[in-house]
Amino acid sequence: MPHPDVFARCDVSATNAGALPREMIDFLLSPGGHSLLIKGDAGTGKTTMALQTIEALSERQPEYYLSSRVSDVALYHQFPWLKERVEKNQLMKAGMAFLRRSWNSDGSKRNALEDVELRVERRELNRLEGQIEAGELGMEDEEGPSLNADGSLTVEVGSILPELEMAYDIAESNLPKKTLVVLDSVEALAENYGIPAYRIMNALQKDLVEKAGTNVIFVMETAERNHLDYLGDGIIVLRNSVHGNNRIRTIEIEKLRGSSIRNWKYLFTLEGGRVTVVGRDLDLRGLRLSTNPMELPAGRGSFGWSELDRLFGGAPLGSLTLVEVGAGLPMDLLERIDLSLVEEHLRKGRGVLWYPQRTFDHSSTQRSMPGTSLETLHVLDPSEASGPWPFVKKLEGTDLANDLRWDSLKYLLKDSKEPYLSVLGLDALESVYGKVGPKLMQHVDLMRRGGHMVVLEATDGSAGLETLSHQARLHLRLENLNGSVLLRGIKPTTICYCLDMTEGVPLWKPML
Amino acid sequence: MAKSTLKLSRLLADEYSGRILSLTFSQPRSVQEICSLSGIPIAVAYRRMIALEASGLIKCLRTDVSPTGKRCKYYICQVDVARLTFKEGRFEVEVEWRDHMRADAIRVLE
Repeated sequence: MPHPDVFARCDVSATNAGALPREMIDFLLSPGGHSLLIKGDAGTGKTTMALQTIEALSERQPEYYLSSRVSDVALYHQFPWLKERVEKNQLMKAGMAFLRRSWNSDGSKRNALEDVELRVERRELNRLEGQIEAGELGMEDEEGPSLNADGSLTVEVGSILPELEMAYDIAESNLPKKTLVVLDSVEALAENYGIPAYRIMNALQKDLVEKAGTNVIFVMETAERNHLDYLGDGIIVLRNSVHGNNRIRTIEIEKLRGSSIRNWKYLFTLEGGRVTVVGRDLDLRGLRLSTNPMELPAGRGSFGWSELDRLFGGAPLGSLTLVEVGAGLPMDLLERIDLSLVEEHLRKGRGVLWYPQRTFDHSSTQRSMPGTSLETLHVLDPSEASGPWPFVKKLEGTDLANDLRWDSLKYLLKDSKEPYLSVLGLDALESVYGKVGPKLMQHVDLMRRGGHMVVLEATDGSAGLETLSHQARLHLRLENLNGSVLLRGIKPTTICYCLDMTEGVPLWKPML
Repeated sequence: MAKSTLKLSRLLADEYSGRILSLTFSQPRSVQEICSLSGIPIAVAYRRMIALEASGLIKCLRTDVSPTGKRCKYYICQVDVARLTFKEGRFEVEVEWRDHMRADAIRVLE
């Protein structure tokens, strides 16, 4: 059966580490030159993304990286190759200056650079330099910082914009191969030169991108829309936004001229100093969750999924654990979380009371938990469905206090090991009994006093959610954001985690 | 203050012009050298150089042409002493030239 597009795995381009949106890489690999604006406020990951793009294309496109922040030691740690490249660029710059000085004025002494047959036209660059030389060009504010982009004191005779000329030289020397030029940032470079940013962008767009087929990435220091946007063939905006108590990072693809954009928005993390796009619309059919092979500390019960145990240390016994579920989560994931929790405790012979949040076919219970004895399982069911399922305990469905009478439940659990597990779906209870608050709490209290484990699943639409949150020792929230599955602790507060399947197994990765 | 006095006094008091005059006082320098040594943005430097040259405060000593056809001018400071005074309600800008063969100091009076 063909894989429906809506369930297609998030298409990302994996680099040595991290992953960039496939659309962006395809855009830069498509024929011809392209300019791409990477925009974002401070700390949104623009430089990391630009450097990772260089890495991702390093096999196919030689690069020239011009940074106003090359002395940033942290970047050298993240991208060990960067220091070497920057030093190489400096050497090349000095070398080119030397070669130019060594030429005879009549041009009789030829060298490799001049022998290049394929040339990059420098019409716009020459025009720009001419205007600067004539004193016709300047910024309105001339009192800004006047540091050089890289602290270099290399002076190239006759060169007004040496860094840009270097970009032209490198693009020319690589012809007919396409070069990737990265200016980080274009505003800083413009400030260093004392000319408007759009003049630099315009010159490079016309000469390098349109005539020489070079890819140029302009890193820009603000996410705001401005008059420079029209100069780029593509625009990618990186943003940090607040989500609950957490910061969420997003990549928004505003345009990629000539390329199709399947997903215009991605969540991403900067874990390990790398841009890693979070998977979206994951195909979770047939999902299996691995159990925790490690012993949990005393007083904690396993979730039946090692990843949840790893993040929260299991669920506290003698306490209420509230799992809040937002809209749009994949049903396969929710069902599997419930089943793994129940299965874990059944395997240990513990008594399990289960009032499922979602209706399910009792006949599939054993198939869902192959090899697991259902002897200590008691599925509480107020419906009129009947069948040969010994684990189903029929409820009247009129009075919750009566249906959850402790003496009758205790009788059901008499042959089971302790601590017991009670898994209750709040919305399912409310749909049958109406408001369940005080009566449900009687059951929760009895379970807590006995040192058992109570896991309550609720949606944001549950009437009793807020009250039960006050009673819970552990409150988790699962949600769908932009097609990605996120998890965070509300009580205690934790960072946000995203569900990742890149290694074939579901893992919660921190959203940093 | 007279327009010419104002223009000259502003030019002499300007931070970037001051740096350019200082750097070109002892040896001729190109605009690129001045920018590298002083951190003045290149476009700003060219604008100042043109204004300073027009006022006679610097002059182009020689022009080199690179093999790629680019001109590179070397400038030297022409000012020996510059004074801006305010006396008896009048501003006065006085410049003494380093080239003593030139006419005596410029005096721009209001």
